[in-house]
Amino acid sequence: MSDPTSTNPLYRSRQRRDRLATLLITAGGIGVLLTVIAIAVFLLVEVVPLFWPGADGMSLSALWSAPGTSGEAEFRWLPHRLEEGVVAQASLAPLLWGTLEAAIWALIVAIPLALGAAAHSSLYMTPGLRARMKPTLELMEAMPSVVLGFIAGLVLGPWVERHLAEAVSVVLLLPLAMITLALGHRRLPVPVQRYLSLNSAALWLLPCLLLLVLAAVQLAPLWESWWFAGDLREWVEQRWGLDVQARNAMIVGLAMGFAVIPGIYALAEDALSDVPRNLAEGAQAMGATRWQTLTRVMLPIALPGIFSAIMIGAGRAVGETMIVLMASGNSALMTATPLDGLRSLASSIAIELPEAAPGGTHYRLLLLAALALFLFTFLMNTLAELVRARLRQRFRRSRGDT
Amino acid sequence: MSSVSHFAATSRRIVMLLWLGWVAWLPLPATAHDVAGALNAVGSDTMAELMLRWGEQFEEQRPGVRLQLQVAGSASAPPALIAGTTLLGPMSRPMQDDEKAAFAARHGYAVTPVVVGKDALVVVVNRHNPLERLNRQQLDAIFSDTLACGAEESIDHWQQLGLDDPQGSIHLYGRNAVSGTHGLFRRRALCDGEFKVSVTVSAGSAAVVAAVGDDPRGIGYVGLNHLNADVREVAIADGQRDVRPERQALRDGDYPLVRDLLIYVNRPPETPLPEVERAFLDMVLSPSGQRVVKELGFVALSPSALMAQRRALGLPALAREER
Amino acid sequence: MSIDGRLPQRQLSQASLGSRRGAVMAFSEADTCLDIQGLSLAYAGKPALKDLTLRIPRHRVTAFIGPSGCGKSTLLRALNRLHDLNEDVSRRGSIYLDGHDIHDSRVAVSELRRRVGMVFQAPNPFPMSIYDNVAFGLRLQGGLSKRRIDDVVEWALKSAALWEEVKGRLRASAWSLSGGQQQRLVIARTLAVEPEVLLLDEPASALDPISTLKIEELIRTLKPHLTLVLVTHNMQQAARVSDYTAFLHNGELVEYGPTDTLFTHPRLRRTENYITGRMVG
Repeated sequence: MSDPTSTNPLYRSRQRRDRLATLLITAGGIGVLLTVIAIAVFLLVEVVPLFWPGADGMSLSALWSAPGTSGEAEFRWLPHRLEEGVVAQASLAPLLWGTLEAAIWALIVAIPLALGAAAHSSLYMTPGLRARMKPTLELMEAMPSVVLGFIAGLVLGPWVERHLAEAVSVVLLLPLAMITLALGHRRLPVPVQRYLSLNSAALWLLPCLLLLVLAAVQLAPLWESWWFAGDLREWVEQRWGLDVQARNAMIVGLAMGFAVIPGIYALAEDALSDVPRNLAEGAQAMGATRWQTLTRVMLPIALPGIFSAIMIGAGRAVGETMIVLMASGNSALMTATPLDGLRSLASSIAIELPEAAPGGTHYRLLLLAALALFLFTFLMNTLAELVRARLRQRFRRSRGDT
Repeated sequence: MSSVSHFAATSRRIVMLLWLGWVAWLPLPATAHDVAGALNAVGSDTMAELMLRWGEQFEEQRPGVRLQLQVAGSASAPPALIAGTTLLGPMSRPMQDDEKAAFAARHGYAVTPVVVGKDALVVVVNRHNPLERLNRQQLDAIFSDTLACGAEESIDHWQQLGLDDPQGSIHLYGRNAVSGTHGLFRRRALCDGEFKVSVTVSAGSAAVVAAVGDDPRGIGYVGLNHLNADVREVAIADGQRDVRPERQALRDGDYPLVRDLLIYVNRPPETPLPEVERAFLDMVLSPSGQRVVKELGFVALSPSALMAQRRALGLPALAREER
Repeated sequence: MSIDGRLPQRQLSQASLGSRRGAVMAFSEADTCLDIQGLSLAYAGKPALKDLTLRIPRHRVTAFIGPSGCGKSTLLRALNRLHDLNEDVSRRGSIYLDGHDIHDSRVAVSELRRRVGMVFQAPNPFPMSIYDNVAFGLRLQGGLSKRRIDDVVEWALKSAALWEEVKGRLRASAWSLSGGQQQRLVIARTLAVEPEVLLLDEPASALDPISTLKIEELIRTLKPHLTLVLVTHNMQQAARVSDYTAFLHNGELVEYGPTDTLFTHPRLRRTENYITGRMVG
């Protein structure tokens, strides 16, 4: 071992290199931090003049709702009217609502699938299969959101609108069929059960799912003619007054859910894998089934990690632009039906910023929207990291006991 | 693994916000002629292809002169003209008063508008839709909820127009709020009213056409140069006549939904234009330039309008054979 | 493959079921709790247990000893089908609990694991309160009233000699206990579902000497009520606590007999080498 105080030139050059590397890395880290701060400062500087008291100044309440032509308070996003000096009707409410709606639908789609995949992958899958599943899901994450938005807005949306019965058929039939499969699996003869084991379910379930989807699509015209006089869409419109838009919140939710699933899956699976194996083993040695082990022993420990995974997914869903731009119809509505369009903060910025005069009120409003997005994502990610740090601390303390 | 994906997500967000910042600072002051032999223009995306074709044509005439076109929307032209970044600002809508005032304040003289062509807005429906015409009130009632053109009630379903097929509610397709197309339609067709909230907003006319072509219940408005085989145009019934958006009607100014395509020029009074810009505008306002206008689906200027524009710019009149 | 476990006693002592060198203990069926016959196990093709045959007597402590890697833990885990959780394991031979094949397709594994409980080397209390840990197994079955659960929890903690130390803080987190207490908690948890067999995989190796003694004392007190199978690398512990000892080496059963006989007069050289510490690996 070399003496730390030695003046060996080789040692000194190593020290110098080490110091240089540390310096560069620290500089890089500080640089990133400064950039983020600079962005925040820039946004704030551009947005603050919006609220300057004066003829052009807006109040926070005006950003929420303003009296419309009927005299009542309305929530309408009509920024172009600002340029013309007409009564300002630039309510951010429909945009905030749209952003939230899209994110919620995305999470409704993504959370069950991602958490289910994570639970299955860490509890049931063989290590070989699991090793192959992770790269596949990473491929999913690598898919550009433009492509997803394109498929959702130009292919899936119009298809669903025209073939509403088929879409509903798939959505309803699939869970029912899966439950039936699960119940029936136990009744299969044992050698068949062992061949179609739950551990390799990822392999043999895939063709089953495809067949089910095909069956659902084929059966749809049948039950559509039985119960809905041949046209589900007509029926829905007449019965409930709902009009199915080709680009709506549900399609956005589907596409964005698809985009968000890999992120949530990776973090949730990490959280579940971090649960010490001997705890799961202990539970199973006591006769707990894998499901009971998951829900009673593993989930309580992994919960903070899973929660943080969901929050990071939510942050991504809120900021996603291209998918919403192409698949939502960009209608600034404030309805709750998933069959209507929506408009999010991010897509508004993308559409309108290129044409907004820099320095104008519209421009500043859009930067205010950007600031809102920035703050929200920042908050979400920070919260997620804090929760995970606390979890790691808790575990370190408890492991030291044994 | 998880921290890698977290890092990737954060850096993606940082990149997006950096891009945002860059776009916002876009029209930074710069000299109008960065390189000798460069022609700058900043403005409308509706006219983007037009400007590019003209640029190509111009380069054939003047090898070595490249057109540097920045397309960020009509709203980006006034700031660029004011700052002196460019001498040419194509816009698909007229400058607003405050934009003109800002220019005058900065340069001490008014900006020069040059009409280089016309664009028409066409109301389109899906090709399976038998609808032939709409009058002004119907058009307003379909697209707006303010009914400023005098209709009595809003039209939400195709049945209200007496059609059996398509059935059901009308699906509206339109442009985003700051595009010139949107503005023109709102002012003329909606009589300065406001669109219904349920309009599906697209970022470009091509997307509107695609959407209407895909949706049997759809109706939308697009620039004339974006029509394709999946959609049909609807005539506007003005008074007694049906006016189809055809060349004659457009030229003669009968069709109500027409707008000028302009290039705003920074030209001090009594001063001739710089050589390159002058030659460019000379070409634009010539038969060959107007041919490009027609090819791209816009409407060329009538000979008299062409003459008037040339005169206003101090360009020599065209030879008799050229007209 | 498997030989009917109902062979008469005399035939059993003469038949060489697997290892010819080991003496097969001739327990009567009434005395046999677990009957292992010709058990071979392989992990991903590599053999871990080779054709093992032995009988484990009821209400006695049986110890498995041997160098690391000899297969004693593998054998222990086979007794409550813990290997089912591992896809890579292939098995031949059978194991009978009270005369019933534990690998029969009609057997509910969770029921088997209730009857054959297991305590691991590192104490693994669940991240719950002490009370919830002990009640875990009871709640898995479901259908018990709170009073009944309270009673069973108290009884289990007393049986595990932990009641006095924790009775005032049953709701405290199990992780706040010391290592020795945690291990006794795990034993209490296993006892709560009233198993017939208790498998202990080096239960005291992670504990300090005093806790180790407490665990050994506990094993002695449990003996009249349960069958205990203990895996240990500590031969003094095996000598202190167990009634019968099986010596395994390289996945084979080398020698099996009453503890004092095995330790004082081992029949095979290999056994003697191991016991006296001369065996390497």
